Amino acid sequence: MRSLSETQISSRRAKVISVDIEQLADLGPIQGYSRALVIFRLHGAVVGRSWLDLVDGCIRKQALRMELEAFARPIADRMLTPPPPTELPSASVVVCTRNRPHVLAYCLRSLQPLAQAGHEIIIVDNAPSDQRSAELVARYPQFRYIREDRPGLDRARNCGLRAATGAIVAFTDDDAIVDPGWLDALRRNFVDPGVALVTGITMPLELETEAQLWFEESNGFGRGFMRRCFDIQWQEPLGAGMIGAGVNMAIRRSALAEIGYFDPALDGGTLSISGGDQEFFYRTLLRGFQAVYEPGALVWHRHRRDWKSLHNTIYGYGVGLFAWWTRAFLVERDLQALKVAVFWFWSHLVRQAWRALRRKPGAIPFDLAFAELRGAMFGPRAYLKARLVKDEA
Amino acid sequence: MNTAEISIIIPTHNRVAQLLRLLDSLALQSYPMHQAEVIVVADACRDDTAMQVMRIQAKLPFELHFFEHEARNPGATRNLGASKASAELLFFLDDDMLASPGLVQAHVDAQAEKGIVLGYSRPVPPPKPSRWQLDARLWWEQSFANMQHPEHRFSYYDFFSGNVSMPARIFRQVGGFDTNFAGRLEDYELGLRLMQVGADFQFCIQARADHYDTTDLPQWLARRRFEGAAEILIAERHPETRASLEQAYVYEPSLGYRMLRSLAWRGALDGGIYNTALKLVHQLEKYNLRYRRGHLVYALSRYQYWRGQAERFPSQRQFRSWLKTRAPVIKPVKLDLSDVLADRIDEVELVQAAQHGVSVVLDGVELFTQPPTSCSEPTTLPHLKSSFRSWLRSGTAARLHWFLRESFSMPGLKQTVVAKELPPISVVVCTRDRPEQLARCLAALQKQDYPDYEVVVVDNVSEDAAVEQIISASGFRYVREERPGLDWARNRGWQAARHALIAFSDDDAQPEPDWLRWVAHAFVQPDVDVMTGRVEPLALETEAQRLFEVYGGMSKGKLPRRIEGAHLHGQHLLSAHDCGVGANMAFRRTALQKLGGFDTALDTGTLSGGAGDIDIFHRALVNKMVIRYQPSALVYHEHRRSMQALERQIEQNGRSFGVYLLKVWSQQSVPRPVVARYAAAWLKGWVLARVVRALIGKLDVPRSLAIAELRGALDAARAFRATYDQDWAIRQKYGDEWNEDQDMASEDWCLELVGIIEQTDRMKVAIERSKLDGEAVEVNRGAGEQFPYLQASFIPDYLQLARSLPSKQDGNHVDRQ
Repeated sequence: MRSLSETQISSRRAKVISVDIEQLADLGPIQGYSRALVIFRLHGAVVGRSWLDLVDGCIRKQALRMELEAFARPIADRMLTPPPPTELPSASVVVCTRNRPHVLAYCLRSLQPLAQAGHEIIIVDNAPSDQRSAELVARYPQFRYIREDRPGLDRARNCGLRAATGAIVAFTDDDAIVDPGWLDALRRNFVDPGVALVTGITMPLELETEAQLWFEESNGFGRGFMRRCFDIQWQEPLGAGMIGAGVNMAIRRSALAEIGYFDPALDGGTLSISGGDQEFFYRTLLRGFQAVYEPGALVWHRHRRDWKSLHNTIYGYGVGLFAWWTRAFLVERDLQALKVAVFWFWSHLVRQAWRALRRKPGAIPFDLAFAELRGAMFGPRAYLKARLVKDEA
Repeated sequence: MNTAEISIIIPTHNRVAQLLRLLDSLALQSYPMHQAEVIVVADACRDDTAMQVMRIQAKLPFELHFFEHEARNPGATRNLGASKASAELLFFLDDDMLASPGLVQAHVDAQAEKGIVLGYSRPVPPPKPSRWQLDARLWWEQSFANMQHPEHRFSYYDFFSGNVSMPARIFRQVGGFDTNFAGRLEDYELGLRLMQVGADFQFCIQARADHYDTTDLPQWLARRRFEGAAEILIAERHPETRASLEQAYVYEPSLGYRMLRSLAWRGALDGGIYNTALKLVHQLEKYNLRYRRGHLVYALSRYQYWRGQAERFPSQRQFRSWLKTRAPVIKPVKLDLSDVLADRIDEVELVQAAQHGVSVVLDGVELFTQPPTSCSEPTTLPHLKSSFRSWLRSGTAARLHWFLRESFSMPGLKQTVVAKELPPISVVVCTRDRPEQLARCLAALQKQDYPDYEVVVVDNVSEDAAVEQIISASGFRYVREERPGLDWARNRGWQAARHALIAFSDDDAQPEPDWLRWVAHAFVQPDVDVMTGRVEPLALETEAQRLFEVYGGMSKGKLPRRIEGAHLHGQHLLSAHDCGVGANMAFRRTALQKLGGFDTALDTGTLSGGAGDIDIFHRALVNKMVIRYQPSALVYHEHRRSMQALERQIEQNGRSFGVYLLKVWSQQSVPRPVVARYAAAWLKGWVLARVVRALIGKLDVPRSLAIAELRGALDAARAFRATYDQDWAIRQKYGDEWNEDQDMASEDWCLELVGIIEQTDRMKVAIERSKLDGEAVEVNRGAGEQFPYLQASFIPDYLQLARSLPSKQDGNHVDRQ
């Protein structure tokens, strides 16, 4: 991993610390940090997180205890969860990567124990410009290496889905590191036959730069600390972003026949930039399957370090969201999508940009708000153009 | 023929293609199929079923028997098949299933335990499924997922005859399917009878068959109508299911649906409107307008269901009166939560107990109940644990905090320590001319299971001489208070009391024997200043007593709470009546001193008629004190027996709450706009709303009570002026010396020093003075060891003083007055 330059590191940077609430102890001393993001865990699952100031580089046990009061619900829920069944469905892990061997190396190292436990690990190399990723994967003889030459994250995901042999296919990104209990926590939820999709919780690997801090403070991947079940009766499918994100998800392969594969005109590597995962979640709910959000399945994600990449990411979220809503409207003939898109555009994006412009308290930086708005305006066109490109290919 | 181990019974009706597919899949079983016989019963088939089955019969690896009849009833068809079966094990399989290779083997294996084995019928929607078919799949999958859960409590509606096996013995014992039912209702009905004979249900996910169900919305809606009628039939035979029917009928909150129900009973929408609505559903579905479609489908299904009920009862009135005739409710058996969670309950005992339902309690407080067994399988420990989980999850944050702190002693979270040391407590009971009730109260206080407590009975201007006799007979301390008013008496009482913890009860209340232990428990946390407990009716003999409970009663819930004044503001400070009631409360002496005692213009005996307790809770909260509600500290209260007394009490409730709000307004302990809003909400949402509901006949208590409360509330402004004028007059006449120094000196409470260290100087003066007056002060010689936290500088002089005083035996101390 390339080291950070001095100028990038924020003075507000925070140390990420994971603690088991059954074994609380004084933390520290930690050098060079003035605050910490403490992630509380019970039986491996995340039950809460707090931003705490370091006093002389330490956090007292008492201070940690006080924080726990706020997480009574997730703690009780986790304590009351009965033990998992012994027989779990088989699983494959798919990681899609593109020209980032320096990041991928960390991811592969964290997947090594899963491969040793007998799970199939597939690395899909998406339109690589050199052999570095292939060489890296070759160091791990248990991993399968597949090349998908047409660019597009969703193409790579589909390629992984087709190659996988497990009943469950779990996905993570190349810039993430999986926790040891990750795959088992995902698999546990597939014991119910109606569940076609399980997502997990994503926590930051490091909080060094302003961009990373902002992303975490604005709750970028946060979906709460309670296990939740989603189905069409209680969750509007167009709000599928609530369920989770593609960085940490698992799919039941047998349900693909009804749900279909990822749309190659969406997500990274295409004009739509993102939204492929959410569109898949949408179809999962629409076809009458259940989805589960499981905070026991933890993935550590390295957020974008520089502000420019963060800016691009937020722009991409705007494009992707409206691109997949366009798809829902045109392909699934979902009139509701039109209504939801208009509502979201005016009451969230425009309002957010307006608040940012007037520097209201709690408003997001204006460049990000404007980027998301711009992205949303380009979204529908991006999807149509991406489809044309796809058809040509 | 007699060698068959398992008889597979397949009823069929005009579905030859599916039937042949099923027979093919049965030919490919991992189970040795020569040990099985397959019985196909065709019911009123108009296609070439018979011919096709005959054609392939020879090729199949199992014995196949084919029968035909014209019953047009799936139950009768299955009964016919069962009567022809020769094996000891019956396996009912529907013709629209496709067996997985391990299906028969899984059933045979699971049958080792000899019960009802429910297989997993995996729903497979047809190609291009409709929205309803996808929703139905979701419903099926969810119900199978629930059944798969090891803690699932099986009930009769889990029984599905499409993929189920059972010993023929049990089937014959219950007499097979009832042919009066159809459309899945025959399953429910048989399931109910199986439950009643105590058959053991289990779900086996390995016994998988794919269910190619082609039902769609119109068929389902038609079936709903049948369900409505058949549920009543079931309830006629099994009255225990009537409760859920009644609940469904009564719980119809929206006016729109009540109107739809009336239309359904008249059949007003049958035909054209109904069909148009069905077409509209189709159109909405086409454009994915999910919400509108969902509402419409729900309304149609309710309509059809009520149409079905209307077939049995021509008018809703008849239906309602039929619902009312029910079996009496059986009292459930109580089990302690800690025993349940720690597996300390005998299973056999539990099964017997579960006949009457189970109620789970903690510290004597009921948490949740499991209904009796007649419709479901007997309650077991896992079921109780599972319902504990759902009880906790469905609850508020307070419930969770309580759970983590108190029952699981969650490491890391604050824990409540159970009182190990029991500090001495003074109990103050105020009475006025109620000798009979007082005698019962004092008898209950004599039975307290507590090492060190005293009882001070304050006689508030009683004219009845029996009061004094009863008190002297009980051996408790007698104190006379000449100024009329409950709060004068309470103030006199806590001044006369000796100990640092002072508990209050009323003369018409009877504390439980462990009451004082729970009071002490509540004060274990050092920051708790005020404790309140639960008050339940002693008896509900008269109509007035029952109505008082219906009207709200005195109980404030079953869960312990901590109410922290420092974290409350605005209207939450005003809702002090939620903290507790005066019949069961306790204070630290320091708290009472800081608050300056009770407001003597309030409560019974004055013109305000009440609210002395609400007022002091409010002031405690305003002073940032902590109130603990401890429901396990239980006191029984004897409600007013006659209707007139009840009406008077309700009127006084209204008046005194108004007076309390006016007092807060004048004192400005809460900003006046908040008080104004709160008062408006109280008048509109509580008092007037009740009057309006009473006038349109929707109130479950007589309208005179609602009107009495309104009368009281309207009278509040006058009463507020009058009661404070009267209080001023009393103070002029008798003096208000109860909180003066010389009055304190006359009492011998000062040996208990907990928490009054800041008043050291005042104390010294008091003791000096009592010495000069030659007053008797009891000395506790071990005071130095008992109060290690006293300021070191103070202890020597205090002990010196105390030792120099003459000691006196504690007796029936009569106050100076």
